[in-house]
Amino acid sequence: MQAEPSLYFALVTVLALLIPFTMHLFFLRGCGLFRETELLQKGVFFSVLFGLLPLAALCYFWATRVGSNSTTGVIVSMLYLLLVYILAGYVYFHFFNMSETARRVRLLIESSKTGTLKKNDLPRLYPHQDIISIRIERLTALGELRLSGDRYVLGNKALLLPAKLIFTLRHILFPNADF
Amino acid sequence: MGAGSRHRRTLLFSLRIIFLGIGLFLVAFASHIAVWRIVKPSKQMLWLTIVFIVLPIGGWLIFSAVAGPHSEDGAGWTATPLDTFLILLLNLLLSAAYIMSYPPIQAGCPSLKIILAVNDSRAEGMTAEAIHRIFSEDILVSERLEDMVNDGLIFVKRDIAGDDLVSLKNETIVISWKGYLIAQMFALYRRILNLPLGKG
Repeated sequence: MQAEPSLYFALVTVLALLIPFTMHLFFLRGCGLFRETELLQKGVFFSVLFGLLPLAALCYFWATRVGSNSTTGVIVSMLYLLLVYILAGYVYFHFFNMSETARRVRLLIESSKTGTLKKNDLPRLYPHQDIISIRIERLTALGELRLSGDRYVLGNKALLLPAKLIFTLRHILFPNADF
Repeated sequence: MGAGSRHRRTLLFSLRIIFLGIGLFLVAFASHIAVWRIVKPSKQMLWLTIVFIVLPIGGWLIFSAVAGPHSEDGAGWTATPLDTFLILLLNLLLSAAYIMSYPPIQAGCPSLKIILAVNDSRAEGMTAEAIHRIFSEDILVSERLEDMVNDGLIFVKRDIAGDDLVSLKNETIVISWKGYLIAQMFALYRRILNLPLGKG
């Protein structure tokens, strides 16, 4: 980056952006993996993780064939690529999650089928009880909730910190919002 | 100047693209908090796009145009088109990551709410019924419809024919072209992945 990394570096960066989706497509369609409801989100996580392999190959290609002529330049360029890749993976994970879990997307898709939707039909098409049951099921499949007798307790706590962070930000942006 | 000090300077100089990309995002984030606390915009998605995408890109391009000529004497640093691309790409990705995380911040994601409620119940835990009781139908669906109306994704038409003149309850949701495009984009994406539509 510091020397003249040329347009190849821009090209490598753009290719790095496409890796998470391509890996996900490969796992789902090519290998038939992660298709079960409880594995869908894990599938994206593993796609991003295994995408580090093609990313490493791209980095190697760039560093050995085209790369910067200083070691510092190569290291910083790799750091930039890794940062870009992690962000692309995070954005892709959220995009997939929206397609799977977002209430707004579900409502839009239901309305787009006919162009209009009677508001009174919403409880039938998208029952309030289902919204919560689906989420309890999903969180249990992810190991976030664990059933102990007839009660749910916290499982692996991986989402506890993000949950606290999200609600802290909500508190900062919307101090009067209902929590 | 020692070799160590020179090396540190070279490293910092090389890292400038990362620092500038992150810096642009942080400025946009601070503006976002200020705008939301002061104005509280109703069309939130439009404002997020303005604050996180339009302003940093516009600001950077103006800054480059103004600062560029002064750097020709060697006193400053002029960003090459590639530097500009890399800085703006990093800023765009950080912004996209935040914007994708924004809906749960705005709407109070039910899944995360369940996690916090179960965490507060400690070892005792919560029954499924108790978890269901946390949410009212208004919060789960009606408020989301309101957000979608504000963002121009749908319109709500009130049917004032017949009995509905009295009840005014029979409202019809009409999808806008913007909402239709988004719905079709997600439907196409799920078809490409060969997955059924998400349950929401």
